[in-house]
Amino acid sequence: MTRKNRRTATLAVLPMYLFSLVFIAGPLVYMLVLSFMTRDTFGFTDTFTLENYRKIFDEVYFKTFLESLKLAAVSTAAVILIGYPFGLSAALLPPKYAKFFRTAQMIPYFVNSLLRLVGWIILFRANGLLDKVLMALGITDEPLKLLYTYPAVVVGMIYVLLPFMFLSVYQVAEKLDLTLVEAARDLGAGKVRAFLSVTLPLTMPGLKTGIILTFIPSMGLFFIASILGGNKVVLIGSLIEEQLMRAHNQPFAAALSVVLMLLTGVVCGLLMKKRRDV
Amino acid sequence: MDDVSHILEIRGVSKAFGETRVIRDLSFSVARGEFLTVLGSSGCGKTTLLRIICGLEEADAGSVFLDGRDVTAAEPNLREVNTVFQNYALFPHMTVFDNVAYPLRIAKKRPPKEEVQRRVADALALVRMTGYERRFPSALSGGQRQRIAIARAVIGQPRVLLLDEPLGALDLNLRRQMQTELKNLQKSLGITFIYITHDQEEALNMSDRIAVMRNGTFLQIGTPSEIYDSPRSVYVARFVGEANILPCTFTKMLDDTSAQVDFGGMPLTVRPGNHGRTYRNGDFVPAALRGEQIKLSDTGTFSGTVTDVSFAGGVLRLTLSCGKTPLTAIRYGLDTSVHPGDTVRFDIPALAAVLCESDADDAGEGRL
Amino acid sequence: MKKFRKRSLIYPVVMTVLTYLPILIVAVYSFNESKLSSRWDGFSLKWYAELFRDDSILEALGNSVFLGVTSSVLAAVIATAAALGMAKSNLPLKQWVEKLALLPLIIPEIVLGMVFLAFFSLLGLPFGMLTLIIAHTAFCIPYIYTEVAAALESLDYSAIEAARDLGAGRLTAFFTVTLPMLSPAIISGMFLSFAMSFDDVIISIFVTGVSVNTLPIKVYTQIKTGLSPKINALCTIMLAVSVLCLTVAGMIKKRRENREE
Repeated sequence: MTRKNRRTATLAVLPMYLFSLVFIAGPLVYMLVLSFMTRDTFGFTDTFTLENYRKIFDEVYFKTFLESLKLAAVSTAAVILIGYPFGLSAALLPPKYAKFFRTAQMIPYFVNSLLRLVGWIILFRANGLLDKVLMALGITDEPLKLLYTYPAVVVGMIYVLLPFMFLSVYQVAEKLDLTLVEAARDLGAGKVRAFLSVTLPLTMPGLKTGIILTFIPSMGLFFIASILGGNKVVLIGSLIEEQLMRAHNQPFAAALSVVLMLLTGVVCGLLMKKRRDV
Repeated sequence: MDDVSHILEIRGVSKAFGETRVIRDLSFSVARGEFLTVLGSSGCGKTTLLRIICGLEEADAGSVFLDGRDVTAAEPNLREVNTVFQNYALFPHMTVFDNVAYPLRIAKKRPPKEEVQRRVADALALVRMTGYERRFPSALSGGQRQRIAIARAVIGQPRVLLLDEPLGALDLNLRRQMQTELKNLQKSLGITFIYITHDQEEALNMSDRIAVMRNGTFLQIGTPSEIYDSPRSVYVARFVGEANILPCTFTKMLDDTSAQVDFGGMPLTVRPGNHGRTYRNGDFVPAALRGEQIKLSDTGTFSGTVTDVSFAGGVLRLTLSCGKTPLTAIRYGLDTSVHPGDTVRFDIPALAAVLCESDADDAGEGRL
Repeated sequence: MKKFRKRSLIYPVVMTVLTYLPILIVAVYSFNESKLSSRWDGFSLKWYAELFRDDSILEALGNSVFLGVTSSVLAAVIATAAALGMAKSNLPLKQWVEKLALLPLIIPEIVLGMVFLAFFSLLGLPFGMLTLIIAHTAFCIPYIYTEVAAALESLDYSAIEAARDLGAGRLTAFFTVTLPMLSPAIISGMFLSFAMSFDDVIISIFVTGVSVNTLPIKVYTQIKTGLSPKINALCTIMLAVSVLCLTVAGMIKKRRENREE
């Protein structure tokens, strides 16, 4: 009986086992190998080189790397500042309201982020809706021409990534035992103190998940940079896309990807490690 | 085959999980229509035994015979044994009706729709749950879920019904009521019940026979009165009805059914028990004595100091210290004349105490 | 429960309005008679009519739906079977392979797209629907696997044992008890997968080749060449379909939850 069980179980796992080995491990290993290959006119040859990694430190590429990191950091910070209080305050409402706000954020979470960005193009473009409204209200005298600027890209990033933060925080905050906060207040903690000593630590897992879910994609969302930033904002993601699709430099794209993965791996690792200590 | 009066026979069953031996070479048989209770504290192996009988666990050694057929290797669905699980295990995604109808619907010979409906109605009527057909289990109370689990287990007319602490999750009043109902149900269905519990009151109340289980074996199997009046071992005496254990020294056999021992320097006539042991003069031997057998009397042979008096549920419990032996005497009705610190005299009637075996393998509970 | 003040509604309400404002703008402009977004010339359905005359968009829609359904069904079968068998199977390094399968959750999409592109060209696979399905299945598996694994953890195994005890064979017990009890997790995982597949731009762009367009790719290339009211209309329809799907899925899940507490 047990042996038969075991055979059935093994058979059940086998498809995912093989699929993961071939289509996850395969490509990743290949990426690593590829990043050490030499580029030539027709593609690449299997001559070992570190040139691809050295090239990242070329001024033009390295600047992009730093810019991309900076944008990811700025976007993530903004998403934390906006999304954490949003998720927390919504979760602490009476269930009827809380559920409404959760559903309201579930929809953008699932809906194509590209589609959601189209509205911002209409808003941001020169003499677009935003300019018109601001000028009509007399707040500005001339069009801001926000489209194809850095702030437009940041707004787009925040807009696309906010639901991830909201839902991560909400899920944890929903289970928060409010009597603990009341106990802290009862024991003499002020509102701020109670938040810092009880609410924040208890919702930290949600915040950390939110950061991971925000930070990882934020370096790769090249289409946001492309449609809201024009060619002014170039991300690592844009760079990889360019090297792959236009420059046809697979080894360099692979090296960029390896570094990007290591970078996100380090960020995840740091957050996860601290989570275990809690 | 060999003995058709036995519906179930267990022969030399053993089971180990890793290093832990949960069932040790266990053999017993259950008569047709019998209500057998397996009584033991948690971890004694009773649930594993039940799972071996219904086929959810495979024994390492030994065999299980159901109605003369060897079912040791049979899958659980091919045994005419059904189980009422400890947590009821109702299907959360099915209504009460669908839950109860389940065994009929998945049967090889699926009865026609009308018959399913009729039999479900009958089963629900049996557990007095008519009218709940369309509810989901989540909308039922613990007692109601219990009844549905029973209806679902009996609808397929199994030869043996196994019940794994079915009353454990219910409150005291409901538990008492369900005890009576279960007993009546068993009588009206005529199905063999194997009932597992750690509650000695339940066991004494409902069973035709009780098997006291410990460390994977039965210490004693017998009718409730046999277990209560003549516990074979110190553990059984203490586990069932909290008996007093008197440290005695064997003097002599008086005849086949009585023996003389020395307790606290006084001669005492006791039953030798039916465990077939022979004693020699001077042997140290424990005797079990029920608290209600201790008769307070000003002219009593023995004396002790009252250390505690408590009154609960119409029962007065006097804790006495008799030499170094603590004794609990039970009297019915309130008596305000006895106070802690008093010295009282008492008698132990002849043949009230019974000699039993000390449990060799444990240092704690069996020690005198 | 703490006393509830109306004031605490302000921030969530403002954020929700901001979330939906850009979507509403797109919807409103899709009904604009004028081709220019700077003018409002009155209500019109002409952009919708034009949309349905555009074969390339309809074809892209068909591709997206086919891709989403195929990869979420494939992922559901692969991931559910694996989640069910993982504990008892004795494949070497299975814990590592489990982690491997979940890796797409934390790998940046751009890297996934890159490695798939490189690997598929190494294998010589023809770029198109096949490569899209493989890539999408790869990133759908973790969503369903984690959902099903979580459901398995809280699964009442005694219900399955009860089914076996009551006379159900292995297969019968699986199809009448185990699968129905897991189905809310599988279904919600599939919806999630479908949404992720339907949503995906980055990975698709890399593995689609030249012959097959999905809707998001179509939208992306059109936006890059300049907005048109037709895109507004397309976005509005896609949003409406997504909202509809989510509402239906939500209702199914809620009914199950109510039943099972």
